This record gives sequence, structure tokens and C-alpha cells, in this order.
Amino acid sequence: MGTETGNARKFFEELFQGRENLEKVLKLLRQLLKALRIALPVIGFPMLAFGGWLALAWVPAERDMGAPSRIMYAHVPAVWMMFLCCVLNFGASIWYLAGKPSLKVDAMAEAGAEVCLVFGVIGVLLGSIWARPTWGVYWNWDPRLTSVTVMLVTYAAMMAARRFEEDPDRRARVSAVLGILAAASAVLVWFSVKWFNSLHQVQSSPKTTYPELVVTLRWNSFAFLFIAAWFVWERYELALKARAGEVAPPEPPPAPAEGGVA
Amino acid sequence: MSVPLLLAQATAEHVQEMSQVGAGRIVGGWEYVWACYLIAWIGIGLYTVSILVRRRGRKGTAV
Repeated sequence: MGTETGNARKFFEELFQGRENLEKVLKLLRQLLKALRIALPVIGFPMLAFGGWLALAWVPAERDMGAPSRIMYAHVPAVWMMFLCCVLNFGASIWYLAGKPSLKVDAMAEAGAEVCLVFGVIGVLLGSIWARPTWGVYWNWDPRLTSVTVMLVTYAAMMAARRFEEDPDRRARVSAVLGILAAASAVLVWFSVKWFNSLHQVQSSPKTTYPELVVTLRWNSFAFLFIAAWFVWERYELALKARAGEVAPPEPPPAPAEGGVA
Repeated sequence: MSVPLLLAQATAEHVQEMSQVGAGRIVGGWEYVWACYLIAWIGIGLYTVSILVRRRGRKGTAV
């Protein structure tokens, strides 16, 4: 591991023609990342507010579905963020089990799982409310709704299991296995509308909808994306700090005071 | 029963059935829209607060 890092460092030193230039580039990259971490919520939240206005006032209602069609601009981005975070968690889980286990990878998996759960619950709640005026019921055990429930319950179980297991390596392995199971159910969620006879509509295409609807959906999706990326970033940093606290060496006992009782 | 009467009865039944069929378009439903956006905004807001509180807690306990 150390040799690999050394080789990579040597390669980049040669690429940037000297250690000083490499240090400058690394410093610039760190500053850019710091700026990006601040920029994500600063851009994302105002975008979400403006996206709300677009969805509720600017965009025309869909012809047949009427006002409830406006729910799409919050429901669909929330579910897309759920899938993105699921992919992140799946990648980190595979990396932990098949690659080299590291605390950073486990922290990334944890961040992905939690943010996935947050957006998944929001997406399902919104979908359930949308179902009432369109399907006539809040809930139906159709393939998509059933598979997404299984997926979210798996993530909830993973987050609960992480709290009970004290050994960091065992905890990471258990949650990585659960992450892979959850990702398998995510595949079922995505394709369920095509594979089974589902009440839920199949994925739409921008080619068959009005440009105003596409613009509003894209705007809200980017707003959700910036916010979700910031959530994952912050949650990752929190998880890293928690790991550092777990593996930190115990503090030395205080030195006995002079003339005090030993 | 005579044929014209049967026809008239069938037409009346058809008109009655058709009157029960809507235009296929949803009317109203703004209460569902507002409920959804409130849930989405409150959910995102609460998670933001949760992240900030945990971040502050970590800073407070950092050595």
C-alpha cells in the first residue's frame, strides 16, 4: 500500500515536473474541494426554492392528470437521488468486501445508505400521496411498491445493525452484505414496471413530453442532486470522525500530583 | 315490447352509463400537491438540521 502510494506520488511529481508544482496543484485541489463543499448547499437550497415555484406556479399542469402531475417534480428527483446513493453504497460495499477494507470506504457506504434512506422515504411518501387522486388508493402492493419497501427496509436494517455491532470490521462487513442485498432489490425496483404488470407507469422519455415539463424536472433534479451530494459529503465526514474516535489510542492517565497519594 | 320502445330503453341506459364516466381527467387535487411539497421540504430541512447538529456535536467533543 505504502509502495503504491509512493509510486503514484512519484508519477504525479514527474507529471507536474517537480514536487513544488505537485504541492501547488494539491493545495489548489484542496481549496477547490473546500469551496465546492460550501457551494453545494449555497446553490442547492435556493435552486430548490426556485424549483418549487417552477413546479407549483410556472409549469402548466399535465393535460389528463391535472394539478397532481406537479408532484412529479419532487417525487421523481427524490427517487433518483435514492438510486444514486444506492449505487454509491453498492460500490463502497463491493470495494470493502472485494478490495482493500478501509475505514474511508466504510464511511462512504454508511453515508450513501443513510442519504438513500432519507430520499427513499420522501420519494415513497410522495408517491403514495400522488397515488390517491390517480389510482384511488394511497397504497397498493404492486411489484414496484413492494420492491421499494423491501429495499428501504433493508437499508433501515443496515443502519440499525451498524448501531449494535461494536467491532468496526465486522460491522462494515455485515453492512456491506446488506448493501449488496439492497442494491439487488433496487434493480428489481427499477425494472419492476417493465417485467411485471404494474400499476406504476414505466419510465418516461423527454422526447414525448412538453419542454416546460422537462425543464422543470431537470431544474429540480439538479437542486436535489446538489443537496444530496452535500448530505453525502457531510455524512461521510461525520462517519470518518466517528471512526477516528473509535480507533484513537486511549488517553494516557493523568500524572500523579507531586506529594499526592498514589 | 315493441322495437322502438326497446331501442329507446337501450339508448336511455347508454346515456345513463355514459353520464357516469368522467372526462378521464383529474379535477382539483391541489391539497395533495401541497402535502407532497411540504413533506419534501420539511424532510430535507429536518435532515439538514440533523446533519448540522451532529456536526456541531462532533466539533464539541473533538480533542
